[in-house]
Amino acid sequence: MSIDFPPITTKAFQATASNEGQSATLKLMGTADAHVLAHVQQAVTAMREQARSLQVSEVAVDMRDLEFMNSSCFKCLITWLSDLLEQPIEQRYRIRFLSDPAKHWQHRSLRALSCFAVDLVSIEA
Amino acid sequence: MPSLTLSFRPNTALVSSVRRFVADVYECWLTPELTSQVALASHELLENAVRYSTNGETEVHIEIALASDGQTVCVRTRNAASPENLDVLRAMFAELTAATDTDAYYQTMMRRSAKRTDGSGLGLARIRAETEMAMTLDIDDDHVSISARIETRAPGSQA
Repeated sequence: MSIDFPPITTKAFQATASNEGQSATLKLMGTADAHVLAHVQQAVTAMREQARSLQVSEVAVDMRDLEFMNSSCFKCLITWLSDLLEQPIEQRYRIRFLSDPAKHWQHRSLRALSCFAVDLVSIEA
Repeated sequence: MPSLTLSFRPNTALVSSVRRFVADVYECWLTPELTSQVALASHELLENAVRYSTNGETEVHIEIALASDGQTVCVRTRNAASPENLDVLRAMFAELTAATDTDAYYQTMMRRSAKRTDGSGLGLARIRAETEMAMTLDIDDDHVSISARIETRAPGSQA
């Protein structure tokens, strides 16, 4: 079954998704700030629904082309993890963040996320 | 002492432009890591200032003090705010400054943020935890200034 995720394409922010086997990938690109918060919420909500529907074991969130994410958009990821932590263990899946070491904020923000959901989050640089 | 002051009527769409400008300007003097920290602090503070300014005007001031043994960087925003928002800020800063473990406080704020329906409430805690900048609040009548400051020392220099 293919993922149902209409791409989000604005001048400042873009999001696409794909799936293969038991994994799905959400790719975030551009700048996630207050100006595009609704689009970021839309992307994360759609990915959450698809992950549940497809019963994936892992979602990769590719942030390598994400220039910046403000705290309001960061909260979308926190809420995703928080809700996932409240699910029964058999309904949980892992979230693997792909980061760009040259974007220093990603290292610090993703480290905070990994502390927030130790058993669910992994980070790849 | 390289410094930059922008006084204008920004909207949320302009905040990212300011962050990029700040990063471009300050990468001449600061390490990439510190430039990223200053850019993040500038973005979060300015976005809050734009959101809560009661007259649409906001000022952001960034200053670097260069010394032989390191640097001090200060980012400060200033805007007019409503009495209600000033009270909220006082309460937030009281909690922020009382928390001795910045990472633990950030995690607490992240848990609270997950359940919030209005805004994230994370900006100040994020600046403090992710940039290690010290935060101060100054209120002058109906104007509020928030500063984020960090001192770095060159390797081998004494603190």
